[in-house]
Amino acid sequence: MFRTKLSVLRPTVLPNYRPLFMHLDMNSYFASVEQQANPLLRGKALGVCAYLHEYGCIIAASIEAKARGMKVGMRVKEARQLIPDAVFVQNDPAKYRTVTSQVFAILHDLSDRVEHYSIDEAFLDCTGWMRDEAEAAWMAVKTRERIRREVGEWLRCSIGIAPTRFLAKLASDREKPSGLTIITLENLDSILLGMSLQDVYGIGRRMKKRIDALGYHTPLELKRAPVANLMQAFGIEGYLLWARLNGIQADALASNDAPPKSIGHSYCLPMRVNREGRVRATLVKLAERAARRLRRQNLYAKSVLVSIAFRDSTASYAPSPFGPPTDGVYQHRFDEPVNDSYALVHAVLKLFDDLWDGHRAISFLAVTYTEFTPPSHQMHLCLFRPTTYNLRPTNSGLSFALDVVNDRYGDHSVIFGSMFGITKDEAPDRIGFRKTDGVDITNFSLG
Amino acid sequence: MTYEYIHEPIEVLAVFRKERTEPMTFKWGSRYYQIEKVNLIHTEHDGREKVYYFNVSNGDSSYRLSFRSESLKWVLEEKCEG
Repeated sequence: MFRTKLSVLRPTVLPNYRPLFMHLDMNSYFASVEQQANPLLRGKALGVCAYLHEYGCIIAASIEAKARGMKVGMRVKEARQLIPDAVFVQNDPAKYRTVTSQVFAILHDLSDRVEHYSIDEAFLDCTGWMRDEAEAAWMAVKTRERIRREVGEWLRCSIGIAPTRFLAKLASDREKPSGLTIITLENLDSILLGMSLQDVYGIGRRMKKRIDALGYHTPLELKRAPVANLMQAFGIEGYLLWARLNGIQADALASNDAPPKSIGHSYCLPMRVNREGRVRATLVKLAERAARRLRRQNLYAKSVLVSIAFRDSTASYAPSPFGPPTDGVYQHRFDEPVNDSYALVHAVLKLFDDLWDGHRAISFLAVTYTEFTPPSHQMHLCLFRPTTYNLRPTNSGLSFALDVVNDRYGDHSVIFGSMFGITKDEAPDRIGFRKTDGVDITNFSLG
Repeated sequence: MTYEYIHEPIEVLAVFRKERTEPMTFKWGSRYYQIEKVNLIHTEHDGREKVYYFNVSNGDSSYRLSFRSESLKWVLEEKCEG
């Protein structure tokens, strides 16, 4: 296969090639995949929801829906009021992972260095594979055509080409849908001229405020600012911001094999889960599912975090590593890193009992495992209770055995007793935009 | 537009081409349905078993068929009519 030869063919010294990066962003991705699967949805205002419920959240809107004002993050109820004839479907992660695998496999035919940035975005380092921007643009058009022909004719993507990773992303964000933008050091100023600070990837509302306070109000002003001023205000981040806007490579392509920094699952609980007393069971399901992912990647966690939010919350929100605001985040650190479900679930339930009085209705639950370190494999002896040894090896063996059963017969074939009564509707499989778990470019052939 | 969750076994006539497999016709109940177009194929694992989903359409109707790699059985999962 051509793909397997790429890394062999890639020249190690690239004296005459200028740096070339490409960024591909699938447009209205989840909605476009749904429209690809079902032609009756094409041309319609379509919202893909986390849950098909009036209070479910829109996680993707079709291009037609966006044109009529539907936005990601809206409630279904709100979107229906805005567009009465809109159609809503529940998200289907397996569908999106398969399509992403197919798209990424095509991208791996272009370069040996492809960063799977998210479920619908990828960066390519094309240096050495394409002579200049013109050839890169030609390859981009051909790639877009391959995606349409081999994956689906309804799928659209925006592509950016530039001398750095950052500018490639800036270029692809410029025109949606189906844009193709080339940024060079020569046209960079004219591209930045029409942009506002918040159009720049990485500058949010708070950062904009801080930059405004320095007296720079546009990306072009920021580009031309003395780097010392920015470094004085923002430290190394100031230099990186200046370098990125000046076309200096400040970000290397991330490796797809790099271990994650955290693994976790979260769930917005419907009221019926509270009513039917299945909150703890749902939490155990989240903890166990995350633990399975931990073991699948052969990682051991030193720390576990549990986060909850209450329905009647009026308290000021605690900072949360999970995104949505929460009423409390508790953390437990293990003496030794673990990945067996018993230790993890036990710690999660202990934290949860500290956070919850057993009565207040809960709207959000999250479990996260972090601080991944390799295990020391040393037996721990308790000085004060000499007869009790660390039982972790036994629990690890049991967790491994249960994984084998669940891998063979399907998830949740064997479950914790505390998960009894839970249905597949509680905390189902979900997909995050920044997650590429399950995306497998070696397994995209469906023939 | 109406969605219907079916999940019933069906009989399928499929073609195995060099690079892909496509269902051509299926029989649900006593009626035969001609497939005009395979719009998207995706897969999912259920334990060791791999499940192939074929999103197909025929004029004003769209269907989701599944094929299980271990039991070699076809199921009509969903039907959508415009």
